[in-house]
Amino acid sequence: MTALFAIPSKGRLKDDCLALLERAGLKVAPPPERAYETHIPALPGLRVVLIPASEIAERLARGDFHAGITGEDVLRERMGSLDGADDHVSRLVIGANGPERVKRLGFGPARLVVAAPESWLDAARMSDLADIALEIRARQQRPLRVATKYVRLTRAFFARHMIADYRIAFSTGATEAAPASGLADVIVDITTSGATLRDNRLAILEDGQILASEACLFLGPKTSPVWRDGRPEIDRLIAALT
Amino acid sequence: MSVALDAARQAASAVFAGALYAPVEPPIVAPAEIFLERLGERFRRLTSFFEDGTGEEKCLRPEITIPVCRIALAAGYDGATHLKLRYAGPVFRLAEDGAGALTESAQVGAEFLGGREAAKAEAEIVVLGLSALAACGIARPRVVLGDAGAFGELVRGLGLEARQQAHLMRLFEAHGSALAEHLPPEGARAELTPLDADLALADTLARLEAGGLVLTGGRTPEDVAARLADRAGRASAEAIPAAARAAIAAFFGLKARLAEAGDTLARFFAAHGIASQAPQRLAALAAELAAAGAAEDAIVFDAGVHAPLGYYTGLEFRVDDATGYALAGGGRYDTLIRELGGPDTPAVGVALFLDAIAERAP
Repeated sequence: MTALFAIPSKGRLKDDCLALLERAGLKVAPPPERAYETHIPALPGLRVVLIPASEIAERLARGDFHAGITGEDVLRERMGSLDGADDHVSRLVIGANGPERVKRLGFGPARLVVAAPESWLDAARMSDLADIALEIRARQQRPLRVATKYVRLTRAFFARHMIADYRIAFSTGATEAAPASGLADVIVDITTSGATLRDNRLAILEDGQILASEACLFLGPKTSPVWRDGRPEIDRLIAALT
Repeated sequence: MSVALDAARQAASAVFAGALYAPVEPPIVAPAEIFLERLGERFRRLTSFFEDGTGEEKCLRPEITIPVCRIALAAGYDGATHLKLRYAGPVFRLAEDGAGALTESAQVGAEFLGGREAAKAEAEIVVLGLSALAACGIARPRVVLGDAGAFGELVRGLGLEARQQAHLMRLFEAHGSALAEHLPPEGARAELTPLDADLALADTLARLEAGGLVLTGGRTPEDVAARLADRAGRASAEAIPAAARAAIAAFFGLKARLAEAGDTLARFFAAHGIASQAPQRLAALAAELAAAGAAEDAIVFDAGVHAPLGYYTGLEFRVDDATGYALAGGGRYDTLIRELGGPDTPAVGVALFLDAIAERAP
């Protein structure tokens, strides 16, 4: 009888995750060198897998794991779902037959936002961006360009704001530099303090917050065959964390 | 393609062929701009645009009327005579929720270009659509028709400022008869006053200079200033007076049996002191449909009928099954061919939604 529980393998998220588990009485045994799997002595029957946060989202969505801790932003991007993003209910299934958010854990805060150049004095709200997209099409015979790695959430959010004529310039790093470098006109990216955006002379649109994200405990879809096993261990994990 | 869907396609195509509509096969992939410039905002959101390997912007066609007109023009159609064309093939649309799901659905349709007797051409297309549905085994379909031109006549006749008229037309294109939900609450004060263009430019230049800001994205200070002035103007554009709101709500509430549609619309426009050609158009169409033997009790007028395609100029109609599910739709598009670079030519067409029909066919 084993249950699979994935946590981030590096950085601040990993440290915060280990600290949270320890506070809950579930200290994680340090993994042997170069290994990506370990266990929690207080919770036998639970295998702890250490992988990058975005992989946790992918593998949870596929149903490979019973549970995992990752950011709501990457999980929602994987599911392409903004449904219930403004809800403050705790438990919520994200996307069709997707993972279930069981608890917000209070660390790893990040806002996914739409930001435009400060020099675009006329860009205050999403409706302005819709008009500017029309202007760029008419005056420059090209679409508005949006740099982001959050392709699916950007599409869902822009559709909600009736913006259709734009292209996504896929950007995995230093997205905030895209308007100045000419890769794109505006960006959709994660921010915590907003300082990096300000340094790059970008301003968040008033109604341009797509998602307020933090690290959450998720359960994989219950239709997955992994759930033939491991339910008692996961129940104990949830009880300890909630 | 399912058996039922294929059967419906063949049955409908046979009806169009019997009426001497010539088959065309417009391309499925088209340059993006031909749709971007013609389709309404709401429909544009449903269109799947992409860049091909050379960076050229393309799309999967979200509808087939525009590609059919382009084929006619490419073949040298000059509008001097009429031209009757039919097609069968897929359209591709993204889900409304923006999540990116792309669906392919099958349509057959007929386009009547250059019919100079408007009501006759419209009646022919409506009857053709009904005959094609009958051939697919659809019992008792119901036609709901309206007139896209009538709303424009109403808006022009309400004594509103030009920018208010433009704003209402934009809302109509995006939201149809639900447009009132997108007006700010009555009595909301315009917080911005219209801004003079020169003042806006001076202000823009001063703020860019003071902030040490460099414009990116190929936009000029003139672009930014024009939009700032426009945004200020928009706030006053949205302040539609109560009397005009009431007239618009009353207009969208108009419903009548086809035989009374012209009179109903005429009474409405007379009561508001507005000149309109729409009542005459509808009365003429009703007479032609009666002459063509269309079952009169199966056709109703509803002023709220509007598809978000952005090119309809007059008659618009939808054919529903008994439960109100749309099986076909069409209308008049008298400016589209000219906008595509062709002659000034009236046109009207109909499309059957084969997936919906196949689900309901016996």
